[in-house]
Amino acid sequence: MNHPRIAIGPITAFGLGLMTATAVAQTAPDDATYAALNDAIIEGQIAPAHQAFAVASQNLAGALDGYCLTATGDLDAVIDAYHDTYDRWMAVSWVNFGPQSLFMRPVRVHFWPDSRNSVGRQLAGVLSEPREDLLDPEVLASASVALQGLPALERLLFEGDGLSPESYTCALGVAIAANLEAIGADLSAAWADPDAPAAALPDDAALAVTMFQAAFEQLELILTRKLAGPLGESADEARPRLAENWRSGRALRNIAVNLATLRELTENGDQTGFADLLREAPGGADIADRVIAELDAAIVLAEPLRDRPIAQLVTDPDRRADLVALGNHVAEARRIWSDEVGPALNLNLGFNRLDGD
Amino acid sequence: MALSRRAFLATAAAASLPLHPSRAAGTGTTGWYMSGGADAALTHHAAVIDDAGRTRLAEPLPARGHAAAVSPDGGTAVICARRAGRFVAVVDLSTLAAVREIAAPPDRHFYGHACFSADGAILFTTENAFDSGDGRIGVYDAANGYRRLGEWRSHGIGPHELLLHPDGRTLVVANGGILTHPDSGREPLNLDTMAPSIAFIDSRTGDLAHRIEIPRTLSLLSSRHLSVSGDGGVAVVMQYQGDEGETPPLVALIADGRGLNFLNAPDPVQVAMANYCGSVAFDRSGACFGVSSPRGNLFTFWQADGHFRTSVSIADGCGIAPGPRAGTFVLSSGTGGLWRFDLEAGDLHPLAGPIAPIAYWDNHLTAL
Repeated sequence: MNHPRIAIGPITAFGLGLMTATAVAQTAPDDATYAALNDAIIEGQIAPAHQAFAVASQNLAGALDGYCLTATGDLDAVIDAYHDTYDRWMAVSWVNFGPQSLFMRPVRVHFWPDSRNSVGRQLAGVLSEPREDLLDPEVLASASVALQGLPALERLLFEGDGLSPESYTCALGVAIAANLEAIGADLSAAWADPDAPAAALPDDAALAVTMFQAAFEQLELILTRKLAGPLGESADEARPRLAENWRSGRALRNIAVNLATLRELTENGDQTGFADLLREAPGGADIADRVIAELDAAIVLAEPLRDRPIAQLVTDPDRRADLVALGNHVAEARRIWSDEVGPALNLNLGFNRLDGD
Repeated sequence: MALSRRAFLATAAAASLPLHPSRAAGTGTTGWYMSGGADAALTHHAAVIDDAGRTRLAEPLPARGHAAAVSPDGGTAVICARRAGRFVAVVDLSTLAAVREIAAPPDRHFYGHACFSADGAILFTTENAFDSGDGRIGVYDAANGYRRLGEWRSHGIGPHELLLHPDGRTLVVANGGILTHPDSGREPLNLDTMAPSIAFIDSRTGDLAHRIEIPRTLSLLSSRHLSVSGDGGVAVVMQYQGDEGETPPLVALIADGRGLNFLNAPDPVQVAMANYCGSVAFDRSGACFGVSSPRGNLFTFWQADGHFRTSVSIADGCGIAPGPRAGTFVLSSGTGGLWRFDLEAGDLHPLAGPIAPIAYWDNHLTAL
């Protein structure tokens, strides 16, 4: 429990600080090298992961249809499909570029963090005075993003009395799932044709920088929002309701999927990942080994906890220590990513975002 | 995927491209842009981009640049040093060559933005008289080697962006309110007494026509960037200096030239703007405007009547300028991407390039 790096506050506990200046690689990868990395990640990882999300959201829509409208399905099938859809989303949630740019697609699927309780307030309003028009998925698609996605469905499934067939709540769930199915199909189709201008992807080096930044932001989100927030400074001050998807007990499961995805992005069997570029750079092999070791160590800690409610984890001293250790591995992966991977591959982090005016 | 793009780039070899097109149609309609940017080695440049997104000039700068301004005849552009820099670089757009560097007086530094007078004879810059901390407007003789003619008060602390009102005479100045001194770098020194404002100043006399203050309850909203439409509408965007957990409005309109009308995006979008706006631009028609929130990787788009329209996510997106047609914008990113966005069609297209040697686009994009 007496871990050297927990102490001060939910953010400083993991040694978050200002970004250090990055040096420039002596031999920068050329455009063809970046292009090969981009193609491998898109074709080997992003496109199939979106296809899987599209299939999962279609299954979810089918399960909800069956349960709510025809009374042929069962709630367990809906819950399973919900979790499968979320797992698939967590494998693409690091992507904030390309087809994700338009129509506010990512926040419509998963609006989080929700510091102002927009989902709760919007949903309470709709449920107290049922709006029939929202049952049309096309109307729902232009309603508040807080109502449209998985966080709203999570509340319908896991809060209050849950879903009963033929209720308004159930019908709203059907509409949300249909909306998710449509977004999933759009994203999957767009990623299947990343060459099309409509995919809105920048070119070689710019896309590699974008992916590098997106991976960094995912590490930062895991660290600051998914872990440090709920942990608080002590067991007494833990705030499990700041966790992601605590209602459906997915907080650690999301982190486990996120980390596995980042691990694949770094090294993915025969497919080119960031680690393969690093191994070509002077001194880069050691950087690759260390960032992979940190991610692997974090995954080893997250996996056994994936189905444990976050409220239990953050108040149990031993499990808190596990989460702190997990956070420290993520923090170290994040530091290596920004301070070592970036300079070695000549990828700059947050030119405007971190240093604006 | 990359192959098809590179094939296009090969056909677009820049060797025999014409210089900057004639300005007969008026400033801002050529589809050319200017921006600061850095190459892969993080050397800072002033860059001119043509209507296909190709870099046509990449002039190394002594240090990081910030925002550009173009003369009314379209013949000259300047790019200012980033706060607290000491230079303004002047580019001849007809020859696409850097021609001059203006140095700040010893007791002044530039804040990063400039604009020309209606006849192009005068260049105005926002400056810090850092011994007293007063905001100043530097007045330079553009027709005579950018000799410094004098200065006006900015009527506030920390003047950042300034633009000429379509009346041809009034300067609209965003006084961000944050006091800094070169001895303490970019550190804000007066968060407890911030009084940001928008000042309307007579460009010929320096007299204050009127000043719109950010309400005291929102005094931590640093009003730093603005855009002025052809009919005199002013959009102001803010950077919040207070707690991360709060969600103040970040965008305001001055429709009648008097009061601020604060605008809020729908809750989740407002939160995603991350309390920070980097740039704002009306479109060519003045019917809509776009706002960048680089910390939220987000652009938001609004109607001139204040209605929120939509958002577009672009990683590290900050630069925004009107496209040549109404309802269109050009967006740039710190990752090196450039896009054209059509608000009505909901269509986002990457501009072709090649953008080399620029690898990272800096905060502001200016239509030439």
